[in-house]
Amino acid sequence: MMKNGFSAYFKSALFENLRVVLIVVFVSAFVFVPMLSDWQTHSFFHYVVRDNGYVDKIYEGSVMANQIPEGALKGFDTNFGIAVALVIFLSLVVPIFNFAKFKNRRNLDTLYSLPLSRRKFALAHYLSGLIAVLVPTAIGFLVEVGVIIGYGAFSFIDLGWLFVYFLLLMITGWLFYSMNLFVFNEANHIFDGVVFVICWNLLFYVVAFPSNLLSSFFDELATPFGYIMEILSRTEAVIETTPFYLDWYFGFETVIAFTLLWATLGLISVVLFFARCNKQSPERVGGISDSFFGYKLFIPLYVAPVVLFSHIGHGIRSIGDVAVFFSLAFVGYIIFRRGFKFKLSDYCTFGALVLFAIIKAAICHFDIYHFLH
Amino acid sequence: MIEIKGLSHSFGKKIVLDNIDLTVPDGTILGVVGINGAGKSTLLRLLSGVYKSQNTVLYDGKSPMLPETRQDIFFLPDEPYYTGANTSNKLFDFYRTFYPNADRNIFDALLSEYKIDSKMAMRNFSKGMRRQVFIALALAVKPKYMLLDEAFDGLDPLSRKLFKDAIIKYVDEENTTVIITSHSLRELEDFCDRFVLIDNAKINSEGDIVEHVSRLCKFSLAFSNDISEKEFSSLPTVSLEIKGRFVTVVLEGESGDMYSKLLKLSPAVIEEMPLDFEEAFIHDVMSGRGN
Repeated sequence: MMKNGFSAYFKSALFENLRVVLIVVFVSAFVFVPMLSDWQTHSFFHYVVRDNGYVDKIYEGSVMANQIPEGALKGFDTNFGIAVALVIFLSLVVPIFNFAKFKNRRNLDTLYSLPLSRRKFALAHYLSGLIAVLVPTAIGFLVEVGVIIGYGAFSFIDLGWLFVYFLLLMITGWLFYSMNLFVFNEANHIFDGVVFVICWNLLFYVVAFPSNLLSSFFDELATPFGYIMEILSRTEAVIETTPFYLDWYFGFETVIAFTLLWATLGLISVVLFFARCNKQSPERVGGISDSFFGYKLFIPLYVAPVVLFSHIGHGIRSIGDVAVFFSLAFVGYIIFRRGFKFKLSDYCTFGALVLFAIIKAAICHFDIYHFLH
Repeated sequence: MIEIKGLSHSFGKKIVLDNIDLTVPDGTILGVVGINGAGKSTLLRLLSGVYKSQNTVLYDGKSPMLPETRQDIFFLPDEPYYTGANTSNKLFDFYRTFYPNADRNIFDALLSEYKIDSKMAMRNFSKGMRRQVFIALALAVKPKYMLLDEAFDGLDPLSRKLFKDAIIKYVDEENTTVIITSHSLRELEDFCDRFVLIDNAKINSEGDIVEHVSRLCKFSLAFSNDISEKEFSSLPTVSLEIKGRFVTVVLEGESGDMYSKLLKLSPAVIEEMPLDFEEAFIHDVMSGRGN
């Protein structure tokens, strides 16, 4: 019976998501496709190996087509823009839409009185949301495969890497959906949940920005959407150019490091989501979001790197910039507490950050940027 | 049987329920009354397993936190959840997967009595119509324990009567236990076996409604001259209202005895007035006293 209850609830959750998915797919079809999918890139090219060893791609029908040597290896430019846009957009939006009903105390009165455990409620919504992310993404992928077949270009691409690309699309979709879901679910209010999702997605970028420790390449990988675009565009390049570029495209240690980082954080999110879904109190829904994995964590994590790396990066140059971030942190606490009723822990954290800034300004005269390099 | 022992609950520092003890035998219709914010809805949420009750609530020895216990419980909150696309039929099908004993015939018959189109999307219904659908659902599900929060809200007088008749019939047939909260005490008076008054986070008074009301009596008196409060000081007064020569008094005790005592004050006119549960409730809350 309980199994029937779960499957019935799962179906109803799936049906509810259908509307969101249809809206997103509709928007994708009319907005993202023209924006992100340049259909002109679907064209054949030939590899031309230059004297210095570099490999150029010369497109058929281009002005340089006369430079294509006899017997040059042929390739085909693919474009998975729709699938990439869908996986990013859906992994951000679906957790919010799918779990918004759990941020309403009145809804919980009905749902949690039903004979189904809270973990099964969470599982039903988790799975239905995951399907809502992955199925449209897979359809976006298959549309591109259809285009490739339509061009008769299947023999010019690496099918093995095409499969890897599909797996990466699904795995990144799953992990980033899980991360966003976990942070959203830590909030007691929809507004806070959206703030948490935004803070989480920009966290590593903000940490990286003031430090200027790494190149802009780091910045791209430091956000989930940047990472998804980067890893998928690299894989797409491999699909097209396996014969020459495999090592070059996957040779970066940074990519591997970030892959490990995001995969670890994604898996931790899955575990924490299911471990904590049973512990959240309906009484607190609609109230202040005082979970550790929320304002309590994000505010210091956003401010501490700015303090640490002040004066050194191109982004943060003066104590004035640090002051701006402290003001923002103060505003963050006002949003967190919905007013000025701060708790002792807020004063302690804020005080520790100010103390850290004073110590850093007074003692640490050396340039951390050059110290680290 | 529902056993509540030492049930407490608070929102932050605010204690909503403080060490509540209560036993509700099977087949009882219990009315839970109290002023706004007294903790009536919180009590139902604790009884239904929505809020965690730490084993202070037991249904035949089992906690409502267990899904199998909730199999026997149907909780109808103040504003029940439904999806915009739901029709009454779909709602019933959804609930039947959780409650396999749910009876389609009962549901259809009640909807027909309420004149509700079961194929119409519920988002198009008024609050009262949605309430009727959920009441029909509550009765069709045939739970052993029915918890109803502000069940009369939004119902017209005819629907209220249909609802009360259905509940009484259902309790008689199935020996179901019903716990119902309402601000409409006159509605509860009609069909509840017992009541519990929650005030200041505690049970202020409880028992049989008729017995409780009959402990009090109300008189209207007129005197030839102005009269002061002092004249009534020896009487067990619950409330006293003096307007010149006219007095309205509520006394605790048997009405015949009280009538005799009031006669000793030599009123020009004395008349016993009817006293209902709502007035008894107001007197209980205002005086902050129970049994």
